[in-house]
Amino acid sequence: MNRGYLCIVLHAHLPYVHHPEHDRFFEENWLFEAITECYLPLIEVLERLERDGVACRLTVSLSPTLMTMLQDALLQQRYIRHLEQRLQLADQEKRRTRHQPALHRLADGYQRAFLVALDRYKQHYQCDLLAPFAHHAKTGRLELITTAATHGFLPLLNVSEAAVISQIETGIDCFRRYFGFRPAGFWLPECAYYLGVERLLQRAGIRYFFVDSHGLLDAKPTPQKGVYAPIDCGNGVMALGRDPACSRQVWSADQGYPGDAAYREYHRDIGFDLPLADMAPYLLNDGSRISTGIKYYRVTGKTEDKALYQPDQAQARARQHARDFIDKRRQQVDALHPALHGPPLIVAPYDAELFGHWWFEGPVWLESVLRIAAETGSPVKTLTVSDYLARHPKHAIAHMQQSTWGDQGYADYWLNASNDWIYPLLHKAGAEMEKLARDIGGLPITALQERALNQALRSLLLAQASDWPFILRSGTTVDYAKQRIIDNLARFNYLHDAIRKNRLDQRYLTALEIMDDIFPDIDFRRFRPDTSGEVRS
Amino acid sequence: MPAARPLLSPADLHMIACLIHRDFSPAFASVHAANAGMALTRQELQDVAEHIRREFTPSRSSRPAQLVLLPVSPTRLHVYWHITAADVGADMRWILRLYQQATSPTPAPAIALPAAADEWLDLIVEKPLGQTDILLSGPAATGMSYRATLAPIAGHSHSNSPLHSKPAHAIVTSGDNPTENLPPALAAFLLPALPSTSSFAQSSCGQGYVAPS
Repeated sequence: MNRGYLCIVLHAHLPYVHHPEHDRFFEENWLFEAITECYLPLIEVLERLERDGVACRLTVSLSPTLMTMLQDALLQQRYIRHLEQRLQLADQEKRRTRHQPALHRLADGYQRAFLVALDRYKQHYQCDLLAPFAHHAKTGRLELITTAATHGFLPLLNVSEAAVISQIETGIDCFRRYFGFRPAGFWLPECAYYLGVERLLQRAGIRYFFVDSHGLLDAKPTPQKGVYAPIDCGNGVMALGRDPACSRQVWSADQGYPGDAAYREYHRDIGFDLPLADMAPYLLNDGSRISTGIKYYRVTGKTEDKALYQPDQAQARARQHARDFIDKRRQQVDALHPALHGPPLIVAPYDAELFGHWWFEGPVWLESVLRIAAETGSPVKTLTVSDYLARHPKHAIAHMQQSTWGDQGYADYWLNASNDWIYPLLHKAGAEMEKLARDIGGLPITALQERALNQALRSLLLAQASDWPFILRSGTTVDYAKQRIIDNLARFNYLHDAIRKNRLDQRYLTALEIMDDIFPDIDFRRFRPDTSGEVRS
Repeated sequence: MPAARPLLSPADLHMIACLIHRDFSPAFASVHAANAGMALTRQELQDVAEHIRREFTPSRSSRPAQLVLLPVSPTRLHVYWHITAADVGADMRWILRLYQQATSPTPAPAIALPAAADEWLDLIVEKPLGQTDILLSGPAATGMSYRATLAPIAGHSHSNSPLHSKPAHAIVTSGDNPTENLPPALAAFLLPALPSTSSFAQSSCGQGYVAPS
């Protein structure tokens, strides 16, 4: 008997990386790797569940930047080229390992996997990966939601309410453009909540969002159901808290499943392991080594001496871990049900890219969890927040504090000595955009001016992505993150200057529209604070 | 016999590659332009990007006068300021005064500042452009907020504040045990402290062993 509800949420997001001005661009690989390792496997999981008639519900948040890149014709072509190169590399590996049977089998497995990915992507999906997500949303296994336009870190953009509104509403508009309906839920980037954002979410027609556990537990009055029921923010918009137990089992460096000895080791890639001569065609222009996705070793243990990866054992372990996960939920609901006088809602949100990219066996685990939860006698039933709210629409009102799901639980990761310099610049550009919208929004303007104003807003939004301060803090690809912030702000400055001086250059504007080809329906006039109290429908 | 291949120097090869790249690279058009006739090559896109980067890189000193307070965590505020040349005048030292004050206990997105401040903290500021963290010693209470002013030191008095920040909400935490008011059955699943999670490009999921140095 189902004594509790399990709401698994996968947040899929990558920053906008789109460089038609270069023939190839290393950071575009982030998308390509995620397609091969995360998005295609996730879609295949959904297809198998549909084929087998498994009754389950899953929530997937697709960020507007990711949706845009998945639908971008240039990136689609480049992904095919990327896969073809990976096929060549796998073929080269098969030849290199022909006298090492165990490695050879693994190389052969990669070649077959790349071939399947290429066939599925190019032939089966016709390069359109949003279509299968839409299909599974329509046929009932998926609830799709979205997030802010470029994943802006909203508490630190809140110096200008217009900036936050623009992030929220542009994101929702982008989702609507691709899926034809408005999402009920909204993923706050980095689960970063601040007091008052619920009003802007309500204005945008949003019914619920997620926060980290402490964000909900620190609410006043203390929510008596802990994180196991939504709270009403006071305006009918519901907040849901992450269950720490589910997070710990998957994310914890010490106790988490992905660190199991049987799983594939992410950090051992032939791009770094093989002699430079073997990798020559697959290096960056400056000779730097890069990850290739071909990895032969398993985690093994806390040692640098890694044992060979054994896919069958790893998959069996993933199924074992799925069973363990559901068993832990059984213990949880058995304890919580009497205390709550009803079924707990256990919210388990994760980065989608964990499943398949960082944790190679993650999709197998996820599929098994969904299958086990659907079995007769399962202690939990999977559902989405919309399902839950349809059954339980009323919840206690409480007011939360600012919180995030990042390190230390607040904004420290996105504002510190490594990245504090960006905020004065972002805020200044936001104020200038607001002034442009106010000064020019009501005036008759030419088509060229309209394009320039809309492009200025695109540049601003792209500069606001939370990924760049995150990368500056984490220390990976710092130069690129810095360049993206500076380039986007420089583009904004150029357009602002050209608009103000009425010296628009069509060629320059066209170049910027080609390079930052996102949010085609954007309207600069909507970059303004909320003064009307209107709610969009 | 095949014809002998003409000998080309590296410079010739480079020049030919550049010419082909310039004249035969695929061109891109904007979907926003009514006149789709304007298509730009990769090289042209790069030139535009490079020119804008060179000429319009954001400058920290071109900002208007401002004072902004950002709540980072329950123990940290971040403040940045810019005093324009006109404001600086002969005053080289300024006082940044941070007020902690009570606001309405119920959330109000637009906070009305009370007439009088309850407590404050002073910092000496010697640069017209800067930013710093302010560590908060004691826990803030629900319903508290912060605001800041920046004024020249005039005879050790804090007068004529030309810059005011907007108020920032204090971030309040329930401390070490946020579950103390909950039934024990719930608390058991909410403790111990949560692992930190992250977004794109980082995992703390236990892979990637690095030997201790």
